[in-house]
Amino acid sequence: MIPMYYMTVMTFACINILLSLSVGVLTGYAGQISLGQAAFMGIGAYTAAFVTTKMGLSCWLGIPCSVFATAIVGFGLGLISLRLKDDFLAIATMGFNFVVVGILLYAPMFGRALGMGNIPMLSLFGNPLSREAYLGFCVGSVVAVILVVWWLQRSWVGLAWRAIREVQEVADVMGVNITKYKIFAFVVSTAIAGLSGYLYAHFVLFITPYDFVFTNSTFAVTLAVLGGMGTIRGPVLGAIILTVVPEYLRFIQDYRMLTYGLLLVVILLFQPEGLIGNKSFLWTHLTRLRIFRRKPVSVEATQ
Amino acid sequence: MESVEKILENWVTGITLGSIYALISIGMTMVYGLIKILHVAHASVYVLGAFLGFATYSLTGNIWLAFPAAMAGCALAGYLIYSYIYQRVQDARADITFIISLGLFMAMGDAFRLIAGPYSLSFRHTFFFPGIQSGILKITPEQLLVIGSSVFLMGAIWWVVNKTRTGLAWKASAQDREVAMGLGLKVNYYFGLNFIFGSALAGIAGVLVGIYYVQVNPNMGFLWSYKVFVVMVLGGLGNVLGTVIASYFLGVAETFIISYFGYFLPRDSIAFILMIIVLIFMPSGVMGRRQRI
Amino acid sequence: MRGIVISLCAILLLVPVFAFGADEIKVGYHVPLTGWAAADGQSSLRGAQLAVKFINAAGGVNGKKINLIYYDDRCEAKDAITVARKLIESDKVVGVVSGSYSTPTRAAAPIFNQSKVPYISTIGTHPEIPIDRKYVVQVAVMSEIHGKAGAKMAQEKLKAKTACLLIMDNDFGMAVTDGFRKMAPTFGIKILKEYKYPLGEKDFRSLLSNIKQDNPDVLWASGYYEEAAQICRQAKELGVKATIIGQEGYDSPKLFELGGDAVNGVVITTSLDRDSTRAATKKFLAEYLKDYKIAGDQVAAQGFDGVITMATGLRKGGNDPDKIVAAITELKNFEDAATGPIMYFAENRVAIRPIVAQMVKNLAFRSFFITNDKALITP
Repeated sequence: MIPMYYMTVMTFACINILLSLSVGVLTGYAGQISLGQAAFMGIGAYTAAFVTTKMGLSCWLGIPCSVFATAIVGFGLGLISLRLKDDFLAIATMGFNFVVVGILLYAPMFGRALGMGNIPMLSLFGNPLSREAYLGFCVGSVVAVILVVWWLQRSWVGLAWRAIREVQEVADVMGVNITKYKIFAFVVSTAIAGLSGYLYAHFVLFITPYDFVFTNSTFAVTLAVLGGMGTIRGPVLGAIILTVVPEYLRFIQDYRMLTYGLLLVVILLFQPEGLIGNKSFLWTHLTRLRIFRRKPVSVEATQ
Repeated sequence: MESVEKILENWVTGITLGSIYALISIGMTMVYGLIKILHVAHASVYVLGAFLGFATYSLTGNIWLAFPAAMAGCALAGYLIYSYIYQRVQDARADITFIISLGLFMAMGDAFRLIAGPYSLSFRHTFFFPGIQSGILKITPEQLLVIGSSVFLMGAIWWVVNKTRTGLAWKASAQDREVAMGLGLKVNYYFGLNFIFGSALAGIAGVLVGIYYVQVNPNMGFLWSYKVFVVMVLGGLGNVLGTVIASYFLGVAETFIISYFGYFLPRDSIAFILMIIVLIFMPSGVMGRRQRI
Repeated sequence: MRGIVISLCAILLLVPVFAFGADEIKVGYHVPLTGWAAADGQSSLRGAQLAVKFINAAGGVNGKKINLIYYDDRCEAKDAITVARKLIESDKVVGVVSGSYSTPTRAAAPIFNQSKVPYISTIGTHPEIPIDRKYVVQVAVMSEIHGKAGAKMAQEKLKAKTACLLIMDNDFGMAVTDGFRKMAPTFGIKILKEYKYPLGEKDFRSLLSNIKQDNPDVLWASGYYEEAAQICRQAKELGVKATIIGQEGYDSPKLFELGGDAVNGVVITTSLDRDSTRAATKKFLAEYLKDYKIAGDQVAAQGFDGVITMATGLRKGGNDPDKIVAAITELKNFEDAATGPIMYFAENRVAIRPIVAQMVKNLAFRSFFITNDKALITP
């Protein structure tokens, strides 16, 4: 029996992994910056809350509803993004985050500043899922999303994304449908963020607009960048580290944020590709270890 | 039946607010115009200026010493940040430099809290000069100071940018860095100078805001870590004149909208909506992306 | 070499799990120590630590000293949940007091309730916190009640006939105003207009210009002391004549520091009466000033009360959560609390206490009004 404390941290880690992957898909693969992922998490969470508390439907229906609602908004943002590039896009998505939070804060049907509470736990045939089962569900979701993302990036979609990220004009000239793939990246990314929000809502059981402010969007980007963009393992590792390490830093809790900020600066100064990104120190050395080699090597110094 | 008094009050409030926005954003836009980094930590330099000014004032009792102290301190901070951090990652991807700047902002913000405490500190001073009070027009001394300082500083900036070699060097480097380097311009030196200049401006802004709202606290930079982007986008990233115009526009527009419609959304959301609308129709900002300094 | 490093890391991993202490009673506490609410968090923690000092100096609880284990929740729901689990499982506390705002408290309450750990909320006043949770007790008065008492005070002491409302748009700001709005007609006060503003706003001039035009007798303005200082100053600058009524959010010595002369004449509804002759209040104020070199505020006093109340419950209830909660909720006219007596606990485990009002005179809070009116102070 794992203590609830660890399960809580791990559940949050799963939620953060999804958030981080959503950034990874959009920015790491397709090269579009978004500083508004928290807003999509919020849309997913509020949809989940709305569906269960205000409409009284089954909590499982929340999954398609959250994902769908977020994807629609993501589609809209994708359309807007077509006209904007890089820094403008980053700032526009930041603005989008603020506007969404502002709407959630002032809309009576979303509970305004008091948020929405009494969100039911996920239950199967009337019995609420235990914390262990919920963690299992979260882990399952993470695995499912990882598989989907992995498959996508291995397919033509992934190739198109890479083309857009690195040489957009060339890709355009060569006939890649930039519009279609950019929007698709937004839709996939925001859907993942929406799912993250759904899991959050059914875990914390009440949500307020302040849970999805711009600060959390920057947190999401930090997770992905720290781990290493352009990969799947990067965002996953980044999310795990940044969820778990602050817990260990509690013994210096007064200096937590200071340490956190400094770590970010230092790590990125020396490892801009992220901790286990494709060109990072750790990854290049890890892949050189004997256990990862496919062919036997004649003479190699053991560690 | 709107009273003229209320309209005048709103104008004064809006223009003062616009002046503040301008002072903070100009430094940021100058940095962006050259180095292309979204320097979130600019907001921390601004807070540093406010605290330095406050500390100087508390120690010496002289409000006019606060400004040079803040400028010097922030210039130094700017120099350190540029040389040791930004110079190394100048050509890295935009999101990486953004996160680095963000980390710096978080660390500095918490450092302020640890050094000065989480409480707001009262920065009160009665000025020897009076405000303007003629009939229904009322401008407080603090408002006069803010507006006056901005006008003066903007004049100074215009002069530096257009009438000095430094300004010319900035424009050249902004236009084409490689060519400028190729022609022998010490680009890094001028970049650094630009950064220091922008940071000093932030410092002055910090002191002024501290005086205007009578408080300094470690969280006061948080708003500016994102609001400045709205101003920059509206004015055209990197465009100083555009930023100034956008600042005043935003300050006045926000004030009037809130006065007549209330907060149908939080003030920042309103600002961002304005920004998004502008972006949809003019993706390069109001003044376009002419790489003028 | 690598082995040593790995072992050190492993040991470091175990540190948080290690729970020390044999002959002491562990009480948990969570506050926002970093983030935007850090100022109130520090006050709250100081109040709590002062209480622990008093209790331990007087012999502790049944002979054992209290060890206050506190964590930073950054005023966020998710942190509160994680901290709650940590306190329950890693630190194995016997009771927890929340020194944090409503949102984190709301998030943590069901967890403590489910794990049968007595939980006292000091400044979290959201109505949902104690509902249907038999182990959750609230020592702070519900926000709405401040509003209701405020309406009576406005009519009785300020002779107000018209009012404008300036509402901070978070849960606290809206709840206190709801109470005022509800009771205003009963006391013959007409509400002219309502204005909302977002938390953290510093520039109220455009709204105040409007309010000046409306010209009410009183301006009911909800907010924390930072917003309050700005509101008072800017109102004075613009020439707004209405008396400003604030609530416990204003209650802090910082209000005078930041607002200056402009806050003289402001009235607030709160629980801490500076002029009180009660022994507990005077002792709290004196000792807090001595230890921390700054005057104690409402938040600190509430934190203090939370811990004192918990200690009282522990004294009678030992380790049994049901007994602890019963010991607390059965308190009548509990005079050890700094912010005023706890008259009794209502059925939903919310404390019923008199509401006082203070007026600012010469940059100090002075006694102005007090009410025990049952109709007002019960929810």
